[in-house]
Amino acid sequence: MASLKSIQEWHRFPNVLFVCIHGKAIMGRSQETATSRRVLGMRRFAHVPGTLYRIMEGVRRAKAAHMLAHSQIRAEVIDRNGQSLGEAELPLDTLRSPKALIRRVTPADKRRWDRVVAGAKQSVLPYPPISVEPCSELGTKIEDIGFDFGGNP
Amino acid sequence: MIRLEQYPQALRALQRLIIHAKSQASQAGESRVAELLNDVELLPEYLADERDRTGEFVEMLQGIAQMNPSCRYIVDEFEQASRNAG
Repeated sequence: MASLKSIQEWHRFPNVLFVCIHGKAIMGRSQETATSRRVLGMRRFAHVPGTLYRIMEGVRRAKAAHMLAHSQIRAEVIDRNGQSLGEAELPLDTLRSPKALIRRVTPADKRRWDRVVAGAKQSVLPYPPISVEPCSELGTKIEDIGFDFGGNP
Repeated sequence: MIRLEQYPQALRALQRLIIHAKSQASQAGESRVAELLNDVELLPEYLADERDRTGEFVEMLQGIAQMNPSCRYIVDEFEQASRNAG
């Protein structure tokens, strides 16, 4: 079995960890992701109080975390040029959503929502980091995001 | 095709590009496009997972078609090809 020192490259999907060891892709589960990130020393982003962030990916996770009484969420901060600035635990009240409603119309919508709620019920959020970028006040506060049931609430 | 060892990285790059495009669409006020990309961004994840996510992949395609009727033919084409392959 390859040692962690031999990990050359890794790539992550929300539920899947990809590690490339000696050129061979190996997949694992998301819980390994956090461990691997810590081992590999993912760059930390220093959140400055007062800074706001627009969510690029992860509005559902942020909303579910808020509804289940979490106060912060792990996020990768990306600048306007697409460059990663690192990861940080960001207060949920610093996040702004580009959309005011989360769609829950199709069966796929329901599955996605149920999945994030299940995660938010845990004391430690099991999510991969959401993606955010620093922004101005524009956007919807997490607490104000509603749901679109397609006219059938 | 691309080399097998680069497949995960390629799918990750594809997903990140879709997320980037979604963000651009949101900022441009193109909410319908952003919503479509919000669905599409999950598809590479299903392709990459070692578990069988076929059902979720198909379900997502059908959801996309439900919300975007102009995409219906793409889903029909996929399902027809799947039936032929099966």
